[in-house]
Amino acid sequence: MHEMSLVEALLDSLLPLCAENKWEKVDRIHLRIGSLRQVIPEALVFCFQTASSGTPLAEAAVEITEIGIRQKCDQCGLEWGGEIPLGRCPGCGSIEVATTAGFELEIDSLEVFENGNEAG
Amino acid sequence: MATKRVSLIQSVMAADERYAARIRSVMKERGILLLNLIGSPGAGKTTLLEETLKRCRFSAAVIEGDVATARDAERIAAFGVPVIQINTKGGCHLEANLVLRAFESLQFDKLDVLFIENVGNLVCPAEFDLGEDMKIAVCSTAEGADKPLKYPHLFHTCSAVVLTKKDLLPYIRFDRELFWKDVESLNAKAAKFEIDNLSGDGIDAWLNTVETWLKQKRETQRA
Repeated sequence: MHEMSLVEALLDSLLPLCAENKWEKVDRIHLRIGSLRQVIPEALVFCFQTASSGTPLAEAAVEITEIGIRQKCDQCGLEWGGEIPLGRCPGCGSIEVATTAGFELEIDSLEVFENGNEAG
Repeated sequence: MATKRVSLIQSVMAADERYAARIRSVMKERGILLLNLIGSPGAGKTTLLEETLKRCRFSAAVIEGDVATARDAERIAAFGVPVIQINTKGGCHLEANLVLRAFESLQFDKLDVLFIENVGNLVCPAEFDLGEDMKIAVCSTAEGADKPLKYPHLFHTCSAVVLTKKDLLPYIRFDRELFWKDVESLNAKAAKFEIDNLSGDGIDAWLNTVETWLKQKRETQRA
């Protein structure tokens, strides 16, 4: 259960940004989370609702896009995806494989209510 | 009221990543190897450290992460090495800012290897970068052979897997072949060790590898 730590980190990033840009209310937060990240979306949303209370983020909807695992062989260049990451290239058997997607933990974008002239 | 979309594309863990980078630069500057030991409660992480400290030729220090008590730190202190206990008070993992704070009371002089024993847990500690050179997965035979596939993040990202409590094999059902096959399928590069905690059998191979990593780190630093 490390979702609360993630939410705290999320608030630490976003609240100063809200203050800086004078965003009084955020409508939606789009996150990109890799499937290897072991994040439970419901737990993240629950923690977010609790921790964001009283802030400009309080009523924001959290939208999570799950990013599947992608891997690439550094030897033969083969690329593949799957449920479980592999330590060996399924094509040439090389162990020089890189996991290129699946570990994301990113804030993609925000949808904020525009505040008249202060938008920007 | 109209809304507008603001593109950010930044890491949720940006602050944490900065702390981890600071730790990495302190370790690099001083040529200290930092190993982050991760495993379930009772996997044998502290025992592995005890057996390591009993025999190692390098100078070591330990940061202990636990929800409560200083029991692990007391066990480590018996070996006369610097040890700092972090109590997370419910937190299921260590974070880089806690490690950085522990640095304030740590003596770095003449230190070769710094071990961090993370909070006992196979899930969350794997998620948080502590600025380590390597994550070490510690798993005991008593936990069952299915752990690598059930917790793929840790076993995919670690640099070594230490299977502890080898001495229990005659008494329990543990499919050793399956365990190593699954580790290999997730992470063919990981160094692999089997250790008998009671006799210390297998600990030498582990110690030699740690020494090699230390040497490699210092060589790259000089290069």
